[in-house]
Amino acid sequence: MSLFMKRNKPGVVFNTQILWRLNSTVAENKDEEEFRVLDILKKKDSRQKRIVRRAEVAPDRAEKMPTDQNWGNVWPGPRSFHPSSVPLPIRQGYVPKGQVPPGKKANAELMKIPNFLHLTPPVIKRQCEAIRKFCTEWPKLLNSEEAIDKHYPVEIITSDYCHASPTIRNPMARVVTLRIKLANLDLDKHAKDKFLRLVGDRYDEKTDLVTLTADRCPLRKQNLDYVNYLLTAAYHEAWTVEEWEKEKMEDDMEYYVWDNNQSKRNLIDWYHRVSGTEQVLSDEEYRNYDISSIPHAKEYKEAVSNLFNEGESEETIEKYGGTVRKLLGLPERTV
Amino acid sequence: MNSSIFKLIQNVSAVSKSSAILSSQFHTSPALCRVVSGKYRITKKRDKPLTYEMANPPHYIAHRKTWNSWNTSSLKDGLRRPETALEDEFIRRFMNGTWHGLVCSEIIIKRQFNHIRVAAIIRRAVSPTKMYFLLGYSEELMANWLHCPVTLELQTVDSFKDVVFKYI
Amino acid sequence: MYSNIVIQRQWARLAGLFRTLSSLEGQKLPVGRKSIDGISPPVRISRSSTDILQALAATVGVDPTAPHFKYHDDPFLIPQSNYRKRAYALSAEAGRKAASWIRDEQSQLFTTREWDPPMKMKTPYHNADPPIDAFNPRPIYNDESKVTEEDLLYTIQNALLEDAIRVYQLLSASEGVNDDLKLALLQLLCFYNEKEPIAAEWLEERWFAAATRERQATTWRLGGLADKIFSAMDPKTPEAYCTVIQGMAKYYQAERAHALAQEAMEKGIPLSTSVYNALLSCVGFLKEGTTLRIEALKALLSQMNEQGISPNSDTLTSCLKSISAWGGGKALQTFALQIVAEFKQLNIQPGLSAYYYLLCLFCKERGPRIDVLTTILNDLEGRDSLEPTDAMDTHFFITAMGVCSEHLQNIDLADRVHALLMKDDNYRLVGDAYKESIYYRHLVSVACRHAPFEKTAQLLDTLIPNIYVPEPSVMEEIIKTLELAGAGDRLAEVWSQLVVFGLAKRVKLVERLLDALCNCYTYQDEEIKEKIRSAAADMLKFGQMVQEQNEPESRTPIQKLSASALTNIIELCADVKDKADESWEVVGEALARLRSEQASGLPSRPEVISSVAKKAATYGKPGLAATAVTYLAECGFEEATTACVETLGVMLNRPTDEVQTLLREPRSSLESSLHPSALVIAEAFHLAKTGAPIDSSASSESDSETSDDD
Repeated sequence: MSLFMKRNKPGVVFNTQILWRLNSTVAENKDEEEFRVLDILKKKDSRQKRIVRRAEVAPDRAEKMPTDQNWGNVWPGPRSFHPSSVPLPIRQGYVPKGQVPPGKKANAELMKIPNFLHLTPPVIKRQCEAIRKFCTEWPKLLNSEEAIDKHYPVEIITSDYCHASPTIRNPMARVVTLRIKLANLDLDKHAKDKFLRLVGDRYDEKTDLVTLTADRCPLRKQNLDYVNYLLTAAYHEAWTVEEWEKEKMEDDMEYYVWDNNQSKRNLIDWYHRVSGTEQVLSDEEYRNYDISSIPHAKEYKEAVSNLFNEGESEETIEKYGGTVRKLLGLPERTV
Repeated sequence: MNSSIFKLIQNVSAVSKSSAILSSQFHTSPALCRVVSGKYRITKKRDKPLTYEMANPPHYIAHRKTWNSWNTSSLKDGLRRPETALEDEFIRRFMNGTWHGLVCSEIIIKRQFNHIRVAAIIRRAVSPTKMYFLLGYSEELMANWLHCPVTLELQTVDSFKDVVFKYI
Repeated sequence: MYSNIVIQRQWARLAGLFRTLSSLEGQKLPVGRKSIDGISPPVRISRSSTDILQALAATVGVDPTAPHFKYHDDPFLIPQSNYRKRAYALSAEAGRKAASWIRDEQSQLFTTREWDPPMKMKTPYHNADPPIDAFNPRPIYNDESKVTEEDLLYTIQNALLEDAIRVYQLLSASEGVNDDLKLALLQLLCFYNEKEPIAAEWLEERWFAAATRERQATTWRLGGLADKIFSAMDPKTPEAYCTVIQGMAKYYQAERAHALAQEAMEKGIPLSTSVYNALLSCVGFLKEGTTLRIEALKALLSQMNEQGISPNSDTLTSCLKSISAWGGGKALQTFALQIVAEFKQLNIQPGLSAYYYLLCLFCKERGPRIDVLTTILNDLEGRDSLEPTDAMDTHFFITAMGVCSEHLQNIDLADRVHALLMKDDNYRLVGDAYKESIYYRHLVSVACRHAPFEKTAQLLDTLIPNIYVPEPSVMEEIIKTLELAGAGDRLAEVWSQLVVFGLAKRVKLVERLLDALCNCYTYQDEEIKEKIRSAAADMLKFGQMVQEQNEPESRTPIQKLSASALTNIIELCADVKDKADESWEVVGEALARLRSEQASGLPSRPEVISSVAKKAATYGKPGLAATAVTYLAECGFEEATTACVETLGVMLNRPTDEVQTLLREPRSSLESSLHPSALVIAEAFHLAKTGAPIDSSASSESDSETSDDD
């Protein structure tokens, strides 16, 4: 009867079914001729699941770590984050406002991100000290870019590649680039012109660098040899003068020579027309005409040459304009 | 006149009701072009457990969650893209099968040079001796298959409840 | 500025000159790390492919909280006892073996790839470039495999004995085998005595290999394949003779070895130094008696000299091996020293195994104390590096530490030995797991007995539990040391350590710990006392829990705590002032056990129980007091009566005389006036006095008689 009293709390709906069952089991013990309870849904059996014995796990190793330990000994290499080995209280995860982000245990996000626990600054310092014995000193005289450029004019550029794969091969590793400043090559005017024509667009005017790249051979060594061969061949070719080079026309000239061009003729003709002596001169005479007799002619020549050789810019155009005015006797330009 | 127009309209509506294509207004419905993967439906009882990974749908990658597989194949001039992806899939299936019912999270694969590091969260349902057997076996077999040194970096957890982020 | 450039240019020209010179001479002169002329790069410091990695690895020290790196670093997977260490390592290795088996059985899956249709052809495929041999499947040889001589060479070089034998049999059935291979096979068979060794890749199996002491009895396989090959060889080359003699000598077939050696010498076949070394090591089996054996050894050495063969350090080792096997005694010791001196004259330094044999010879358990260890240590510390040259080298350190611990009992020497072991790479000379545990056992015992307490505590902190888990005997030593030092908190921790190491079922150890706890209880701080109490409570619960768990499968009878132990627990737990403290429940539990005779024996200090009874009464636990006193009465202790009286006095808050008068009253009146527990105490009192409970009024009369007597 006391069972009833305990369960009959005010406000709780008393489950008469259980009461009835209790009654019946009690009755069963006394008298086995009573009906047994028909348990269709089998709710009672399912409750007796195997009790999972919670495994006894040692406390985290992070609790025992002293605060002045050498962290480099604990985390020597790259490793996924492990909460019981890292004594930091870290949380990660986006949660709506008001909630606490998930802790460090059983947090897959913390395990995913790359961590650099193996490269803390003291560890890096220690490792640098350890590797220092394999290092040699930089040569003392090579202390500026100019010095390096002077002593080592030729620059060979090759790349090594490291990928996260089981193979170490990479087809890009065979590419070899050779760079040299044109000023370091011993070329006279003709050789320079020929060299530049041979080299083509591998020459960069702004930095005065010739860049030769080779990737046609399968091995880097072969490409290196090829690039060296290219440089040598171009250099020697630049110095040799072929017969057909004598047929260089005015159109082939790479820079503007005022003496050979129309502009001088125009000037002389105009001068003659202005001064009244109309003449027809031959080409030879045109070329050899001394323009010092014409006032301001030298400036005009320089201005036109600059305009053609250096390209159009404010300075050159202004200078041209100025010299033409002087030549024609026009007043100065008033801005 | 009125009656004929009325009948016309009636005919049209009759026609539209009868033919399904016209009545569904297919030509005006939005295209079924939406992401359905990686998203879980809300249950009535709200007791389906989701891990943090499952709770964030795929458009939150790089915003609220990060990738499971880290390698250099997606960089410029990265090599071996398809082979790496296939190997990753092999590793995932292998781990899920070997540690059957014990893996509580996604399997994280990190490659550094030749070294493959496989990380996961495992339940403490089997004894440590058995776990060590599985550990040695998985490492050795994967290394022999992929021809790379493989290390497993596991974190054990009492039960699946510890990785649950929310119930949906 | 301009002048600088000019100078540099001229210097550059000079430098150009020097560069050509230096590039020739630079290869001969010792080069520093600097550039010679300031322009050309200095000579590259040569390094092997793993030097940088080794330099980086040298920056990593020891982490005392971490297990050995072969175990996975997770709290569930860190082994905490010796059994688990072995189990985890071997099961991981078993997994690796399973994977290797799959790889070898199904090698076609691992080495070929199948193309998509329409061709479905299989091409060989290797994932790594350059191909890595370690990941290739190993060949399996069975009776149908087609083998060539290369297979035989492969199996011999990798020491695969059974495979080699099978391949040889297949080859000799089909075609012949050339003589060099036959000789190589003979050497392999003789070295291993035709028993398959554990493969080199199964490190854990080798590490935990059972420490079976090889009996010094003949184990050489007579008439085995080696003998057959040897006898079939014609002509018998000197190498073959050497091989067979060495093999026989290694496996203690002494007579045949010496007979063969004799035969070889008669035939004029030259024998090598190693043969003589092998013969020296088993010369003792030919004769009996120390003098005869010494004579035989000397004869063999002179024979060696005649042949013109110069001895090496292995010769010294073999001589000492033989000598140490013949027992002890002054004669042998002097002889051994003589030999060592002679070899030193020849400029041959003794190796580690030689020192091991010397220690065996000199530092016997029952002999007088001889300190050869100091000289040995001086010599070894002076050497640059200790290289393992002989199989018995690994025994040196454990014997040295054993000598320090038992024979000499000197902590300084032990420190020196330990420092020598920890220097550089020397730790590999420890051998295997069994030897390592013996070494640390000796180290810990000598530290416990002879070192100052702080040092011992430090040592224990670094070693336990990751490097070394103590055995029960060592644990007792540790408990004794802690007790002497009065370190109560450490003692409290020892209980949890016992549980974790799997030693908690050893009742003697637990009782020893309880004794220690009781002894040093009074000098401790409050919180440590608290810890000790909880430890004691835990001990009681542990026994119960174990019983419950093991009830169905009780193979070994579980030992229960003795009565003294329970008394100790009672004493410890009764030291609380708070009435509601759980310790009282523990006390009650323990008392119940005592009463229901679940504890063996009798308590050695029954006064504890009486004091506890009084305390219980003072702090308001009359039931416990009653139980305690009843127990005393039942057991028939003398203190029972006084205890009863005092307890009753405390409970009723009356002086003892009144109590005594009270107790003389008849039972019925007592029943009405007293509290039930007090009644029980009264009954106990009477039980103690008379040996029979008071139920009838008759006994009360007898009581008055006895009380008059008193």
